[in-house]
Amino acid sequence: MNRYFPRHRWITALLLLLTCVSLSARAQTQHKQEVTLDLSLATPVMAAGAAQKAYIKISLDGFELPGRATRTPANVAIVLDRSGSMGGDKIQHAREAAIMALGRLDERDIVSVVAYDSQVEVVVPATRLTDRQPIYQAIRTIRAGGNTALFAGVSKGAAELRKFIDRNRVNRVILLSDGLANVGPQTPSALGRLGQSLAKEGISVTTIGLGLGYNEDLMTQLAGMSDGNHAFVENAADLARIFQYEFGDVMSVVAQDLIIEIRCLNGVRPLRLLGRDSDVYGDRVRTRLNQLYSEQEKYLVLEVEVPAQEAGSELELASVQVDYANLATRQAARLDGRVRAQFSASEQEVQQAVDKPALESAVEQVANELSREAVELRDQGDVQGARSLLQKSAEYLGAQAEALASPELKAQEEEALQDADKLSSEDDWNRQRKELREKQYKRATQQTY
Amino acid sequence: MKYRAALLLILLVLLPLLLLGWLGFRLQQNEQQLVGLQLQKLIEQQLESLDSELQTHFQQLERLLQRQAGGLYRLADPDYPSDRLRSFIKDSAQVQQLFVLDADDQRQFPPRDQPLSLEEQRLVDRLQPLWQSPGLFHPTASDPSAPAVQAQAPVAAKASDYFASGQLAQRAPAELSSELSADIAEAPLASAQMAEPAAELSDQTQRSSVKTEAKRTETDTTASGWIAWYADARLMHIYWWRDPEGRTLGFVLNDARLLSDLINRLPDAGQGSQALGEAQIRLLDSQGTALYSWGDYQANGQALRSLGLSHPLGSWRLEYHAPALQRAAAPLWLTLVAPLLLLGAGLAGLGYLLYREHRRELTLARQRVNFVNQVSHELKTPLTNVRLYAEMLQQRLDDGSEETADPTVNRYLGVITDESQRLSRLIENVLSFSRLQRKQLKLAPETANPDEQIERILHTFAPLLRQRGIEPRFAPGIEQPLTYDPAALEQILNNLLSNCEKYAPDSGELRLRSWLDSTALCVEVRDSGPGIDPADRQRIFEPFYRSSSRLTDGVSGTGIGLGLARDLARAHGGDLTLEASDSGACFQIRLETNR
Repeated sequence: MNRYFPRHRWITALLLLLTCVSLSARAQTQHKQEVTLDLSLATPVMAAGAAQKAYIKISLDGFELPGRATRTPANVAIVLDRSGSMGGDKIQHAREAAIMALGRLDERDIVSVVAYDSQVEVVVPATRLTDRQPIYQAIRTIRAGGNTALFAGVSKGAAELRKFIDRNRVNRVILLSDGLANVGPQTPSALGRLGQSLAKEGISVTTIGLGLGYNEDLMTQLAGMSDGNHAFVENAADLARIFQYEFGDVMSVVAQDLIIEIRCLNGVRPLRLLGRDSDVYGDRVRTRLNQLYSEQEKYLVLEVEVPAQEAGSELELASVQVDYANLATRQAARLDGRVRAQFSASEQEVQQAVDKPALESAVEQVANELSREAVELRDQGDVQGARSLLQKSAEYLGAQAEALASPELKAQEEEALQDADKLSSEDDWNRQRKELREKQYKRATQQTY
Repeated sequence: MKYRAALLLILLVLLPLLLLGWLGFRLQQNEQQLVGLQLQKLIEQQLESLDSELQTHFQQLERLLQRQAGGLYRLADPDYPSDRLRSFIKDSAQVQQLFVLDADDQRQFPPRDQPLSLEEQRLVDRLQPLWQSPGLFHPTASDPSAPAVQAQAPVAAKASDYFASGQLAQRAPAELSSELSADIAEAPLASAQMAEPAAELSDQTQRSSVKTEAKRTETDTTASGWIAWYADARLMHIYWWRDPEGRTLGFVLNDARLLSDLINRLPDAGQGSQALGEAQIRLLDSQGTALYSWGDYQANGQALRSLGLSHPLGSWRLEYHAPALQRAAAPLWLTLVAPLLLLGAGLAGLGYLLYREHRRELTLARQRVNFVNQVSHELKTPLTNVRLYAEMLQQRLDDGSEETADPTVNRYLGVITDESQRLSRLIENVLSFSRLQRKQLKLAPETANPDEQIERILHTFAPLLRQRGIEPRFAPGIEQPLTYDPAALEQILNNLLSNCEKYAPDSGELRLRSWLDSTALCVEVRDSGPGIDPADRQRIFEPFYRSSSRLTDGVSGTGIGLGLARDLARAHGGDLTLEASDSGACFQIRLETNR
């Protein structure tokens, strides 16, 4: 080996140099640490002479963090379910997963641990992660037994976060539950309203459902309203992995409090924002994202109705404004942009101009909405209706996949067909429903894991 | 008789024990009641302090909202800009929705002339009845209790005073109350369907419990208050604030957030078990479902104490759960029972010692009686011989020549006979007494003429009595043979006569009388002596009792005579009684012959 050493070193030096060059090149191309707003219309050229639907894709890209050292410090509350059903393996895995995940954080971060059964116990009050052992020790004392006071658990977790709440931190409650909330408020809407309120303070709630006993609607509502992540973990052994992903997300947040306001112009009417909660006031649509992760695209698809236009004309459909807090520069920033459409009488021209990625996203979200509706239909007992809805969605996906030559949409079509089969299975529905809800949630929010 | 001493001793032990036990129990009960009361008071104080803690939240929230309302008012120009209101809602964690009513209670926001978001539309649907109830935001104008409110207004200028002074004007306007009662039947139905779509919302499912509190601040134009409004089986808390131009800003709180904040003001499980120990406090909503609880005690059951919360959480309550007081006082029982047991053991030991002493004395006494008995028996045989030979000698002397008769010898012999008779009566008494004591006395009834027997006895006693200055007279009244025990009659009469001889010397006449009272043989012995002191009338019959007076001084006696005589008479189915008489003592013997 010694013989090769000089050459080896030389290669290393060269590599280093190359890296520097490429880094500086990137820095030049990206020269600002700023979220990029990309507005696109699925059909930039639209058929003239008729009112039609159009999909506007508002895509936000998180910039790359310069390095681990500059990441945004986190303020995390881990809220663990220690109800009776968590007994044995589950609680043990949960404890270990929490400890392992905390291992990724350092002394910049603040952690707190709350455990709940019928009552809520603050196991570790919010504290800077300088001395780990007492915290790990406290986590290891958590034992299972009792009911599920989920609401109070989340409340106390949020209260711990508030002690050090800071818009320049990633404030997050990570909730693990394996059962139905049965003490205190227990409806998805009540938990959703709590999530909504927490989101306004910049707190996200990530919900991890363990096993087959939890209420997936409640968990997705809570996560959705506060723009956290959601995961379905059937096997407790996978908790460690999910916690790792989650903490990876927490540590890669680059922007927070993204308030997106879309104003539709020239008689364009907003129909719905696909997959996300929003307020629609006439021609204006408002929504918010709690955070944006590094090097990750989050997008919204707005369905609008465009009034009939003459061929050859050009129309401004909407203007978009995004306000956000940049965590790298620690400054508030604003982005804006406009969406235009051209109108043409030629079918071919319309087809040629199609913005493939934007349409793909739009199709994906539309199909996702259909899938959601299918689950609702299934809940009402209409298995056939749900099934045919999914089949319709698969058909739509198939047609679009072919037109766009998109393998992703093709895969989604197959998924939809599989889901249609799963819908009819009576005994395994509980698991299927959790899987479906998780999938829909991840698709709607472009969750990283 | 045999068990009386034991019984007495047992009573002696048990009575103080029972008494002390009862007293102790009562004392403990009282103490428990006292402790219970104190505990109740303590619990109540605890619950009240929690209530005031929750009130603090509302106060702080009120201050915050007032400030924010002031901020919004400054932006109004002249109307409140919808954009600013909307972005306020977007940013406020506590406030879910906002509404603005103009001076005539007409809705300004959510705007009438602009399209509304879904949530705004839902709010409008829900709150329409509230806005239409006149006077809800003008409690001082329409409320009959207005003068009271105004009178207290200067005192309650500050928010804290306002809460401390309690509920100033808590009542629902009349039309709302009636609506409430009309809809009450549908309440369970409505509450069952928790999350119903907004489209189903109708006036029917809306019911309200509206309590209004009004506060008048320095300027007359601004006022504010809390309203608790039920819609869709959900409790909405609304804080309203009147701006100086008479418009009303209503902040509809996010109910989940409100509860979350309230929960965060309450202790967690760790603090709870430290503060409460073996108890639990629960926060319950209007339907009685537990929203939050802390403390170690888990069991369900009747709450020890329940406290309704103050407005605007009027329909909620706090409950204190703990094990029943009796169980908490279990060690107290120990403290009562243990000393009682010790005392009982001590008393029983003492009783046992006394009993043993008593038994020993009893055996000793019995031994003594046996001894006397035996001695008497031993004396009886030689005495019989003495009497026999004395009588034989008398006969011999009577049979002998008159001339050789020496009157002194006759006299001596008489004395010997008399004294030996007296001695044998004494011994007979002692033996009868001991037989009676041992219940071995057996009557030997035979047919005889009592008059003759009395005559005979009197005859034997006559010399002795005359010697003592007593002249016996007998008035027989039976004159026929009867079946009775002559030995018993003789012994009774012997005792009476010898008593008479002893205690009533020189009294003159001693009258005896006999008669038949149906089947009873009756004999009356009446002397003319000093009589018996009325105080002693009962006791003279007691064995070994000798009436102590001048009378008995210097006179020897065993003290068993009268008692024995009466026992004999009673054993014979009759009695010996002391009759009342003016002078002297009068005894009446009554023996049943028909046996």
